[in-house]
Amino acid sequence: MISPELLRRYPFFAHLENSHLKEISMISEEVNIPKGTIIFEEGKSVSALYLLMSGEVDLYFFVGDDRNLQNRKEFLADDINVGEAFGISALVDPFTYTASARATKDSRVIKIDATNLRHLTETDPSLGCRLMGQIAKALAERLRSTRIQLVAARS
Amino acid sequence: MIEPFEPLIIGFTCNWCSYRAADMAGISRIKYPPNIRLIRLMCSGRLDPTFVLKALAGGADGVMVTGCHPGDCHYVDQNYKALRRFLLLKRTLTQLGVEPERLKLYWASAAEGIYLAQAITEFTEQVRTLGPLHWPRNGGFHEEGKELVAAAVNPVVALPQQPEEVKE
Amino acid sequence: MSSDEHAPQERVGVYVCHCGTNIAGIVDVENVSKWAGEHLKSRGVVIARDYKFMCSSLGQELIEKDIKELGLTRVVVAACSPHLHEKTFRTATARGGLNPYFCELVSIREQVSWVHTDKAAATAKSKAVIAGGVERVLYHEALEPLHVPIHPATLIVGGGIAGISAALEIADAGFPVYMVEREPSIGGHMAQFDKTFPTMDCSACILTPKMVSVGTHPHVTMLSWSEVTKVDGYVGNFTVTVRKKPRYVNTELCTGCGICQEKCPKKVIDDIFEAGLSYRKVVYTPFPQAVPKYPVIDRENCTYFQKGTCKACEKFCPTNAIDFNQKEEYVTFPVGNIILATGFEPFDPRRIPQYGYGRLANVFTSLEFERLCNAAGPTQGKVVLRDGVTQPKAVGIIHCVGSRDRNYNNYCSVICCMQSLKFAHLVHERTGADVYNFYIDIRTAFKDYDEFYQRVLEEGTHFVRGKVAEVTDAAREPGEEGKLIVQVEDTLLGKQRRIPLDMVILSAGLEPRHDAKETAKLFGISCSSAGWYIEKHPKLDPVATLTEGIFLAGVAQGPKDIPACVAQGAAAAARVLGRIEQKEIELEPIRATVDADKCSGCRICNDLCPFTAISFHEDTMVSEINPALCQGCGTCVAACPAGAISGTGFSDKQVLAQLDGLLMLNVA
Repeated sequence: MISPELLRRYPFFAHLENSHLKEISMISEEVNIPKGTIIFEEGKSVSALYLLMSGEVDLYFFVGDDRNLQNRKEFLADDINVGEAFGISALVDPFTYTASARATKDSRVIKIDATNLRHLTETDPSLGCRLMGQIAKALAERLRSTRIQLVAARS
Repeated sequence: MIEPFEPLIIGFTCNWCSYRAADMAGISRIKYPPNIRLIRLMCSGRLDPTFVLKALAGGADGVMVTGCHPGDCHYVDQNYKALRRFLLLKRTLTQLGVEPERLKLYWASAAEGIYLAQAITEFTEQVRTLGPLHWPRNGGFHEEGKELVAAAVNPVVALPQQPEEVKE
Repeated sequence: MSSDEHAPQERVGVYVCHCGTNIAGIVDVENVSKWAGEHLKSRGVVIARDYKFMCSSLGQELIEKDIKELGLTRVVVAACSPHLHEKTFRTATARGGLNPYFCELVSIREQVSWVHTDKAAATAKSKAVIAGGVERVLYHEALEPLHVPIHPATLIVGGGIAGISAALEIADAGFPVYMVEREPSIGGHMAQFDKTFPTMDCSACILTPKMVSVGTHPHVTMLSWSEVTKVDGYVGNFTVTVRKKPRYVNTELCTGCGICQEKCPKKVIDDIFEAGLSYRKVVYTPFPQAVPKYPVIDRENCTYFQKGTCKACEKFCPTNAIDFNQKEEYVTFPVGNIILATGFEPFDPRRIPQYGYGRLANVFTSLEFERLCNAAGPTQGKVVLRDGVTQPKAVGIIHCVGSRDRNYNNYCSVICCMQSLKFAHLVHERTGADVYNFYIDIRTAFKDYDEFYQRVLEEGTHFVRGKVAEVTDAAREPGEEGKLIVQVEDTLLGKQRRIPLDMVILSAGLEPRHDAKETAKLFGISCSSAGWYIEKHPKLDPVATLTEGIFLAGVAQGPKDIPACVAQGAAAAARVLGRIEQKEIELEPIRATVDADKCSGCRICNDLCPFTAISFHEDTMVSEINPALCQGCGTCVAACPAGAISGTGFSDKQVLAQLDGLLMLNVA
């Protein structure tokens, strides 16, 4: 459980009432992630939605043998800016992580339990609506930045 | 009635910091004992150890050396040289039979008039406790010394009695 | 023991000043003067006078007259500190026809009458001090001041309003200026503000024309995104080395179109310009009106530099101006004078945990609030809570955060009261919110300031006189849920109050730059105990420093408002222009010289000099001192075992003679 004040600081949680923030803060925690930790893996079922408070987190695709780590190749897909949410699939079907995430510096995140969050969005439609709006916004930003990098890489 | 011993103290100050601190004490009307008489040098690094020895030999009971704080010297790092000389001088004085507490080093910046005044007051009392220095004056020897020299030159002359303890 | 080699053939005049009652109130000046005339006669004193105000024209005339009529060859004045009037009496001596360096001023005011209460002891000490002066002056030599040429270029460190003001004055007068600014753009803190008190002028509107003038001025060389790394030399003749940090943008090709910034996919929190409230891209200009307009790439956060991919800015740039291979550059140039206008940093309210900044989302610092109000800021000028959307209905403004507080900074930061009133006014204007100002005193001392305070009073602002104990979210009473509660003692009511608010603004004080001490060392000046640069005299000379050729302007010298910064910048510029016009200045001839005949070539002195003024001649095996570099500290004089180095102005003979005098060894 964390203080709602922590959530209030981030524009991701804008438009939410005090009561919404309190409910989300009940299912959240602050986590320190040391450099190099793999936070979640691509393809696994989503356990939490994350928000990066400080540090640096990169998203990767890993290709190759899951059992033999030496044979794995990794491709940098994207990096998360401070204040951005990741693990957005927590609220988006099919609720599996679309990439792996690793902390490239010592980082601090807010970790929100995915199952409970989904339950909250279903029982409180206004909370659900607002949160989905923010998710859509984050995805649009992510898409734009990806497109730019694509254009840059192509030409 | 025996009058209290008033020590005579000579203070060496540097133009940029400690002399200005003394001025600042004056401007702020902070009081300290009148036993100290100040000499202004451009820098504490200018302090020749012979100045201190001459001061003590000339009748001073204590000498205070002041300058800018280490790192703040107007001439970059000359106060470190003053520090080195001071440390060596203290040891030399001890060897000569002078109490090392008669020599004090104090760093004061131009804004620290009040602290300099406090340091002067404390040092004056410290020297007062030590008592007068009784360094031989006016050309050299104690009376006893003169007789010793005469005896060395002309062994027939009887040696004097052991000189009394001068210091308490 | 007396150093009596110099038989007193000089004719010395002694002048004891009453200084009204400043000296005469404690020291029996007539007695002292009479004593000097009698007991120092054998030392050469032919006349001893006392007078009410020696520094007055009449007092000075006494000296001039006596020199002419009595054939004086030396003058000793016993009065105030030499730091005040040494020049005055030396000039009077010169008018009398004697070399000014034959005059010695000894202090019996700051060092005697103002610090001692025992009149007998003070009088006795004054006699000793005068005896010291008389003995010393017998060994003075006729000296001429050194003439140093002044290079016409000026270095201004810091591109805020004070630096800009100074730069424009000097450049408009036709002389070259180098402006070095650490950030990518000039403008300083004033560029971050929304409105300026008391007129509520838009800050950027009054600042940006000046920024453009400086940026386009033919006499100004702008070195932004740069830092001074080395300063050699002395007044009139400094050699400055500046490190130009790589922008990774070729300024010859860049048109300032901003496409790189728009397309950059990576964002970081803008800690500097936006006070942490919003993001900037990794390739960025700090604000749209930046001067110069060229962006920089933040290497530490750039995806290309850190991970080797992206390069979107390079691809999208229409003029191919992005240059990832750009290296840092060092430039060196000569200047005659330097003005330091390096500004301030705001106090970090995280140091006061009970105010909740950082922990409670809707507690803002003054700089954050400025950015909120700014139309180009993160909320386009809307006063809203941290979520970016909700308007507050009740706002509290706390004065004196980190100032007037022995736990943090004891001084008053001067501008926060007016700033807090400005915020109150802006909140009223932009929201219908209730505004509470929590103050200790209201300091609105300058032109139109108090009228502004009255206006804010009439707008219905609630003023609570009391130092806020804490800002908390722990609700105790109904109506406090979800609010920020300010707990304060209302000293006028005599009651404790808990006031529920939506937003709290902390008027944080001003602090010196975190590296002010290092900067001071670089330029050879000092910082006060509070950390501001020390001026030559707090009342009479706020622009010069104790180091010749280095001047101060703006908040770097102490907290002040914008008009004072502008005035001080212009004052520093005027001082510099005066020097440049004169083409040379006089320096005190306090220097050391090596007597080659006495020098044994031991080289002990060589490494002692911090100004590398001493060189050793291998052919003649003697050391030599360069008088242009020597600053006269005298360390080498003291160190020379052969006594081969003499220091003018503070020679061994002079100091030892003064010692004899202070110890009253030669007194009849």
